[in-house]
Amino acid sequence: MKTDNQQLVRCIEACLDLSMDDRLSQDRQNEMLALGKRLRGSLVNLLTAEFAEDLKQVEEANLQLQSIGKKLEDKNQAIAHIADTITRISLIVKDLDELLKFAIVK
Amino acid sequence: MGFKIRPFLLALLFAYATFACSQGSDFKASIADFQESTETVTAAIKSYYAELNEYERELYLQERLMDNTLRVAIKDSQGNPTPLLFQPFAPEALQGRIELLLQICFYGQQLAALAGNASPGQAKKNLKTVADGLSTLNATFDSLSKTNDRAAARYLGPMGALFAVVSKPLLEKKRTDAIKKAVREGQKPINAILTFLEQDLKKYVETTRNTGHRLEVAEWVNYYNRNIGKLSFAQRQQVLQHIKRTAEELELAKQAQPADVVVSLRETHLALVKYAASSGKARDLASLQRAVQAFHDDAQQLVEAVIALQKLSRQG
Repeated sequence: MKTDNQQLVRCIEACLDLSMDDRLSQDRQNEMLALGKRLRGSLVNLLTAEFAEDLKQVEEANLQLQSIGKKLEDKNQAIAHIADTITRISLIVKDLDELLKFAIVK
Repeated sequence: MGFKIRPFLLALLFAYATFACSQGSDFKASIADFQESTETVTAAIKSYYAELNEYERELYLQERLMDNTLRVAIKDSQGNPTPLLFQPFAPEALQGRIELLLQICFYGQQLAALAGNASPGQAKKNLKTVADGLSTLNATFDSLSKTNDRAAARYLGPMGALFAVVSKPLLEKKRTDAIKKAVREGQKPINAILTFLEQDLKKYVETTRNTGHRLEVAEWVNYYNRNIGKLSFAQRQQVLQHIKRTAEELELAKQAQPADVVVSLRETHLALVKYAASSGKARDLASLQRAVQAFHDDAQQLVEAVIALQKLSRQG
């Protein structure tokens, strides 16, 4: 079983784009850059990771990625609710780190 | 890296052996073009695989250059290995794919000899070399699939099928018939191998490169904006130059995707087999020429991008 890495790529790109978006303050841009970097670190690890079939944590992570990816598609909304955007991305960063512990192949 | 790898010419050479006389110089020109493009693409893809881990190390060090709160270490504060000494992509898995690519090219080379003027004895010896190479590679992929590279398992079926084609006593039959059979039976496993290669390139190379280049731009932009008040005119000029360079790298990487060129190679291969099977119909020759031209254009674009990226990287 695999994580949805294409969705993860879209989230990374959105985070990095927001880190260069001047509608956000410098502090928020810094946060988005840090999150983009963390997500990319997860991607590199997850590309080669394999999980047991039907692992609940992978299914949940994929749902989270899908939900965040959808939210990040609308940049105006993501910026308008930037605190919430950052909270949700921080959560998936943490969950993806945890997920690696369940990998049967790393 | 020198572009010295010989091309994969399985279907092409069958077609050449059987129908070249009837179609004349147009077909020969297509052969030469296809051969040149395949050599170029093989070398370019090899370089992408070979540089995967090195690229991650460069990104890791750049991140530390941009942010003076980050330390350099072989393990991070959580105890996870960093790309400084740890290679995120298993070198043996990457090497396996490079060797497979080379083996496919070598296979084509030997069939070229068979279709050409090689003596039956020499051709038989060469095919045995190919079969030995595939056998070794099959063992490598089998081992990879049982350890840290489960995706390697997908290659085992097509590699085994190709091994069977090569191992058959081709020379016991009439030469043209033998080659025709090899083309027919070799097409499916070769297509499968190229499809897996395309998927691997998308998965490992394109995702890491595309996000990596975007990250480089973002880091330099962020550095500039954070330090804009502290930088002298000359320093700003220097940082802006880095931003320009990384932005150009991102654009180049988006333009030239190695997986797309593998798709183009596979389509050309199919056109070659179709041409061979059609007894050299002019309509199929035209389709073949279009496919070869498209492949040539894609290969050219990829190589130009690789050269430009290397040039930009040296400026960094």
